[in-house]
Amino acid sequence: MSNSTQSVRFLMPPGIECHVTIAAPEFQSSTRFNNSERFSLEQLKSNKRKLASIKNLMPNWNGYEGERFDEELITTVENILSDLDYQPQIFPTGRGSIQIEKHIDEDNFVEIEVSQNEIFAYQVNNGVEIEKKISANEINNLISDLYA
Amino acid sequence: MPNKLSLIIDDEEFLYRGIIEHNWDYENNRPSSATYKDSKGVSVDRDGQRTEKKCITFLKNSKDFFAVCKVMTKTVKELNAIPKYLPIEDNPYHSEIHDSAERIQMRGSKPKKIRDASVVVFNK
Repeated sequence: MSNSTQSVRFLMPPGIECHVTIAAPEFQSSTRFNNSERFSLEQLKSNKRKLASIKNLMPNWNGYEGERFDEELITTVENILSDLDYQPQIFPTGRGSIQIEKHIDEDNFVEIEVSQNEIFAYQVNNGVEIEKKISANEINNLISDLYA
Repeated sequence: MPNKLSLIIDDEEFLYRGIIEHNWDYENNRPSSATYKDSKGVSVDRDGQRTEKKCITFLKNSKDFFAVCKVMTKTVKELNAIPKYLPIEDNPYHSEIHDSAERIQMRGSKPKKIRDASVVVFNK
């Protein structure tokens, strides 16, 4: 053994392959990026396009005297959608309200009807049924709870 | 034109409703329960002893619906909703589903449960 500060070199004989395995370090992964449904820009854009088409629906759009949609309501729903962790589906109702819904399975889903005067939620979470009026800032939690 | 229909919708009669594409839930391949939310009672056509094909054709003649679904009157009543026969000038089969005797508009679980009990009989 030499006292030199030079690094020790090991010369491999020709024709011998050297394979080295490097153990991968464990990274703390964020659920934000593991769940492809969460913070989906594509789904938000799709919902905004649908909202724009709902805004343009004419009276009797559904064949049953369906009402037109108030511009302020459209803006309210757009703001709600922009703040959600998980994008729901949205559907117009014949009474001029917009339904926001997320369905995981029959024991876990939520339907939220947003109208000019109130927001009414029907949620089933782990089989437990709840129907109540809510405020706009409760919507994100109601939907996110389905993924808890 | 049909013979005069009974004022009471028979339990075995089906109630038909047209669905436009905006209310079609492609993720779950069914109509949204928003289909059954209306301000004036959910309009449906009672079958009045017509065939399913005639019921669908009659509806599609009024509007080019994306889909048509039906639900049995008995089922609607079991879900505590009220089917009412309310003929109008252009539609002798016109009926409505109300929430209860006291309230017309349905909300919450009832529209969803009626949607779940419905069968899609026509789909583009």
